[in-house]
Formats: sequence, structure tokens, C-alpha cells
Amino acid sequence: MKNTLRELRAERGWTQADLSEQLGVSRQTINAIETGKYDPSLPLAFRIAALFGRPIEAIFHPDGS
Amino acid sequence: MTPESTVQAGRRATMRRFRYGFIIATLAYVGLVHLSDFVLDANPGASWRYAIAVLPAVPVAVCVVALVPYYHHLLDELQQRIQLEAIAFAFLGALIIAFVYGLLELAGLPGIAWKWAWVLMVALWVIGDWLARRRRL
Repeated sequence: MKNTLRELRAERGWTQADLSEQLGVSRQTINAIETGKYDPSLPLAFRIAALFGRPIEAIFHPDGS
Repeated sequence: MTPESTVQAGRRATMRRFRYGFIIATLAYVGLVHLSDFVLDANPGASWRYAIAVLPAVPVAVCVVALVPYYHHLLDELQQRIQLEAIAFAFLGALIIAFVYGLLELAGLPGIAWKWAWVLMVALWVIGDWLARRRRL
């Protein structure tokens, strides 16, 4: 799954550590999501979507779309 | 990059402590296995030999009990996934090794005591942890 997390985070001027703090996960988890090495669970994806005020499908996309 | 928060730093320190504790417990296990071997050899007919024989299980039990809160409360979902993959690797690796070696024993290789299963599984767990981190991080 691809995502726009890195761009959204950059728009707000947050570091990975800032975002990890707000989501209650480790910085490594944020990095793994951004680099596409890890797909977050649905609850975490909802927390990310809520934090950025966007629907999940605006942040996460299936590969190839 | 902002400095790591107190919560994250505390979580990282706890994880480090757990890992050191795990290594120490494994070394204690190996030491207690040798100690119990020695005591049992010296006292073959003692009534308390069963208690001495299971003494090495104490650090193993401590590790297993400590693992549950470590897994549920200290790890986030990616870390839990990594540990789950590492444990699965250790379980399946130990199963295959034990099975294949058991067959080789039929061909004449010397038998290996069950007491070394813990050491084998921990070694495979460490390898599985390394592999999962390489894949995920």
C-alpha cells in the first residue's frame, strides 16, 4: 500500500518523532509506514486520518492506483 | 529532529532492560543446567534430585512471565509484528531442526538432550528478530 504520510507530515512541519508522539507509536513505525515497509492496522490508519482531518482513502492507496 | 520524548525514551530503556534481562536469564539457564548436572551426578539417589533437575526452568519461567506484559504494553503494533515474526521463525526453525536431527539420530548421530531446546529457540529468536527488522525497518 502506498501513502502520502510523508507529504502530509512535511506540510505541517512535523518530524517523524513529532508524529509518532501524537499517534502513540514509535518513530520506527512512522518511518516504516512512510517507506511502505509496513501497512498500519485499521485503528492506526483511522488515527492517522483523524489527525490529518482526511478520509483514509485520501492518505492510503492500494499499490498501482 | 526533535529530541525523543520522555515516554519514548522510557519505553526504549525498558525494552533494553528486558533484552539484557533475557540474555542474563539465558546465561543463568545454561549455568544452572551445568550446576544441576553436577549436583545430580554427585547425588544420584537423593530424594530432592527432581527439584534440582527442574531448577534451570526457573529463569525460563521468569522470562516467559515477563514476556507477556512486555509484548502487550511496551511494544507498539510494528514492534509486536516484528516479535511475532521472530517467535514464529524460532518456533518453526526449532521444529524443523528437531525433526531433521531426530531422523539423523536414526542414522547414528549422537542424541541431544531436550534441555538445550531453550538455547536453540532463543538463538533462532535472535536471528528471526534480526531478519524481521531488516525486512520491516
